[in-house]
Amino acid sequence: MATFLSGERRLVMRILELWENLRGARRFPSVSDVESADLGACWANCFVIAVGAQPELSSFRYVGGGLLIPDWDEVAGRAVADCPEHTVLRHASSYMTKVIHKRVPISIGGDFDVDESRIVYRSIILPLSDDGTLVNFLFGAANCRLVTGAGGLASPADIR
Amino acid sequence: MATLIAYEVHTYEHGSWQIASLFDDRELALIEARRLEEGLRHRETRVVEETHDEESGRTKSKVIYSSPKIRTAESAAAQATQTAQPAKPGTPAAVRKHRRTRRRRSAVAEKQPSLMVIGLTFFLIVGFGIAALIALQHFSNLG
Repeated sequence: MATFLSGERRLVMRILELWENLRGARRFPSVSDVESADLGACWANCFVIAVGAQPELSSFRYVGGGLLIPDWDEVAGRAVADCPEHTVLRHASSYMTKVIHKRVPISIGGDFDVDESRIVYRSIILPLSDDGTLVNFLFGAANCRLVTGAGGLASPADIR
Repeated sequence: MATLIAYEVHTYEHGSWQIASLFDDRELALIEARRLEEGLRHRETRVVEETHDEESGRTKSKVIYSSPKIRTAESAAAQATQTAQPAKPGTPAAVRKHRRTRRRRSAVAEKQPSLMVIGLTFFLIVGFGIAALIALQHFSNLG
């Protein structure tokens, strides 16, 4: 069972450290290595994508409660492409093709508007492989902060 | 058209640099590079800033961080290169080197005996030899 070793508080850096610990000497950990027990409260901000034969055919295997789309009754099997706009999950999964291509963890932050509010987010997607070569799953995490009005806009790097 | 900046964290493994992770944030990339080098594997790391100009299509790469181990090795290599390089003509270093060379050459020349001295010594030895033979012959005739 892997655990967070450092005192790092940023979600994406904690997830990246866990991924490093899970993979050990291997290039990638496998999807079976990722256990909710290792992630504690962070698990609610995580998602797992099953990579399809073509990236656009990829689908969610798991989406944590913190990122769940309200209209979705069932998450497993939902196409990533069907993820609604103006949601953190949409932005956090938007660069999954780049992760498949580069075969390394990628962290991206940004902001987007919803109604009168602005949401600032920070996300990470990490490759997983069952055979150590083919990236067949992606492990992701994201968190966000709601910023109302013009003042006090947080940088995506500040989100923990 | 925008300029895109990405930060690549590299680790040195099996004799070459490998991309370990990618960030759009400089601070996070630096944190990750330092975390990796402090980790159990004690890896050498660096952070490369990739600036992509969408208008021109050009990408510039710049190393913005490298492990202390790498910095030490690089400065030692740079010093070695500087020592090996010849000084440019006219520079103070070149003038000093020229003077040193001239002094060394004259000192060597002073230590070596000239041909004239050798010749004189030869003729003196031969002259003394002939004089000694004549003297011996003269004294034997007297006896």
